[in-house]
Amino acid sequence: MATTTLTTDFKQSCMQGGHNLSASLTPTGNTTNTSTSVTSVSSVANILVGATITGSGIPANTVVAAIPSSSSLTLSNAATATASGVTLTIAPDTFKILLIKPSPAGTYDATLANVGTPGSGTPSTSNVGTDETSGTGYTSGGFTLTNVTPANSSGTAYTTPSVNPSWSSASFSTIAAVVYNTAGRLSGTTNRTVSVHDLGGTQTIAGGSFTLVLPSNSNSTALIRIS
Amino acid sequence: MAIILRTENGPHPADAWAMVTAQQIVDYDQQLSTDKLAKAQELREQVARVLQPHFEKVQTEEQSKLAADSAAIASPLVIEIADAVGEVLAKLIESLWADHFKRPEVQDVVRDTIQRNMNTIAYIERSWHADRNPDHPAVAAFRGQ
Repeated sequence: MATTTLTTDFKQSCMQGGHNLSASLTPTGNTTNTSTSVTSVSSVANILVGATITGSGIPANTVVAAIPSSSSLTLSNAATATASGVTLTIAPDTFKILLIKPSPAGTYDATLANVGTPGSGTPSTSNVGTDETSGTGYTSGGFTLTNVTPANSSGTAYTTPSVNPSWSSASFSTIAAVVYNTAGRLSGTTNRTVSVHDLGGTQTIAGGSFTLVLPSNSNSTALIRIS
Repeated sequence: MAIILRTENGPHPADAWAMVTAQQIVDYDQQLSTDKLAKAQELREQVARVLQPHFEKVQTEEQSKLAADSAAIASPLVIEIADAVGEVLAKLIESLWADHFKRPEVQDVVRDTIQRNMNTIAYIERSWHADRNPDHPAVAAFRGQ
């Protein structure tokens, strides 16, 4: 059984800064060798403290430590070069969508807090486990979504990824899909759920293409909506 | 949640994408009056006819790029939609629901819907190409996405 809904854990962890659904950002800025300060940043819009940041002269595993002004960032590691107009890539969280097999042992509704270890272990509210779909063309963990920065209209915040989840050379069956966040932004806990989506009965593909055509990105139809 | 597309033995054809996109753009209630229902159905079919060659173009161009160089599988997915959007909007704003489709926020949704589905038709070509060429170095990067 599956119920289309945002999960309770998603709603709570959103309130705690647990999810960044923004698209990847690429402002420019000036770096200074041995300094953690990036100046003349073209835009800090939608940048989240703690987001991974990469660019020429920025060490690996660096995150945004602070946003001291509308045109500057503080890095968690000092830059290794002095340069102007450096393209900074600021990565959001990576979300994925996995599929649930027909007649699952677990219940898929708002209580699903974490997908746990997809494909392995006993299903529970913190583990999809062996309830995950399996078959040719399906890789455990599901499809990686491409974020679209959330917008808002008439009191509703919303977003739909920019590529529909799809599987090729596929042979499997499924009854539901679960969107989840692979990042451990809150308490270091990865794989927190976002939403469960009932697919309207058993859906089967045999040796072909299987695509979930996501709803249009508007305040009334988007895949993820909070009002 | 979603419309589900299933196609045995290969990618979804362009006409399937055109129809599902038209269905999303011209989304109507079956409770419409008989004459309005007929006009809505006709508009949906018109939009699908407009879209089909554009989906075909994206699909064949992606096939050609991949056939020429498998490394293209890992290139950024950038699909131009301006022509498709222009032709679809032209049909929509000469319909019975012109006022609705002239609204900027509605046109944004039309644009977004076409973009998502065209991104996907190209992505699926890459996915099938990866299936047929699993040992190419670029495929590992693609699968890691």
